[in-house]
Amino acid sequence: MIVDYLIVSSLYDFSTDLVVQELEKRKSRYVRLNRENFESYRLTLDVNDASLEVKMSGASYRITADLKAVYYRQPVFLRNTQGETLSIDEQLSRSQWMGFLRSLAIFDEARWMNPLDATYRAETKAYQLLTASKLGFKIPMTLIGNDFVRLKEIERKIIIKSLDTVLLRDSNDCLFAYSTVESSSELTDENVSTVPLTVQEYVTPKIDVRVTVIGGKLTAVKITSFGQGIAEDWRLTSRNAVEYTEIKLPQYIEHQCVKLLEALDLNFGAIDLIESNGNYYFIELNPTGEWGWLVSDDRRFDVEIATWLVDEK
Amino acid sequence: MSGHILIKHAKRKPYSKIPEMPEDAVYDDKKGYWISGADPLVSPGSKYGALVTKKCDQETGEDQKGE
Repeated sequence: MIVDYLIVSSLYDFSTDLVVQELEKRKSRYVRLNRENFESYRLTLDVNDASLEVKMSGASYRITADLKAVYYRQPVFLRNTQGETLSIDEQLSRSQWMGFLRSLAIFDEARWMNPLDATYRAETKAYQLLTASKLGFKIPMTLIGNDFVRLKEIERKIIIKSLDTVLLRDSNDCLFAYSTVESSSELTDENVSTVPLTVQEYVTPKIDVRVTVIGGKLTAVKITSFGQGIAEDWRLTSRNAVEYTEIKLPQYIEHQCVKLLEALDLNFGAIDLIESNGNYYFIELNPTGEWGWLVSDDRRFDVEIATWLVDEK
Repeated sequence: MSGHILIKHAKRKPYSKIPEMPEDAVYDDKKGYWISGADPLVSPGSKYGALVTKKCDQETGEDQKGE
């Protein structure tokens, strides 16, 4: 089968299930590749022909230069913080499949959500913060580094964040780093110098706002608990105690969000804003941000993404 | 290194390589999504609905960067 739509995802990316079901309803010709299953596929990238052949479960798929769109959900292939000794086979597998994924860049005539290079660039928080600032967004004072003397220039309460996702293995446990409120007086050379971190001004009071932008269409949801803003990282609050309420943003903020995606060459973005005393601050943008948790009968991001992929208006 | 402030504040939980899945869930390569019986496992109206993604988000960093 000649494929019009290529989905690159992972096996347990359930949001992608929703998009694929929409493509199926529209009788689109698609194939989904999951990173966990690459070894079970038989793949051939024919560079001269600019095509990819996929053999999977007895079926054969052919992706050509006429490919219409790619839904690319892989900001990284596999994290490099594996926390366990890898066999040489596993090391080889990770490095070479990542290279294979990057090679999909040959399908540069297709519409990408999101383009490979744009995804990787937009993953850099410092870059997205500065880009947002240039477009007129307020951003919190932000310092990145391992010099505790400089980091303490942001006084009193601060937000501590990692530069990249921290998901670490420690024996049978894993550790995940959320944004944390801390006192700047707690920063010392001993607890900072070995690894750089991001320190931000703590904007308070705050209400978190998630802005999902799909092909220039914007939906904003405020995140509260019992009607109030959540002081710390809202993901630490019990799901049953969190409300998501769709809101209308000021027009200039909507405009800045759309412009930000344009500046970063992204067709999808999940933007985190903070509203504080009527001011909106840009916090961060995730080019492969999650959206399935916001889907409802009235908010069908899955339909919007499928519609964008097949270029239906 | 273990004294780093990012480690100090990181949340610890038991490691699980794959999420807990319903017993009858099967991934269909040709369809490109999980099914349960004859129906999609995940759909906005299903018992194992779209909200399940929130659990995965919280466990993997909310941006498909988990391993």
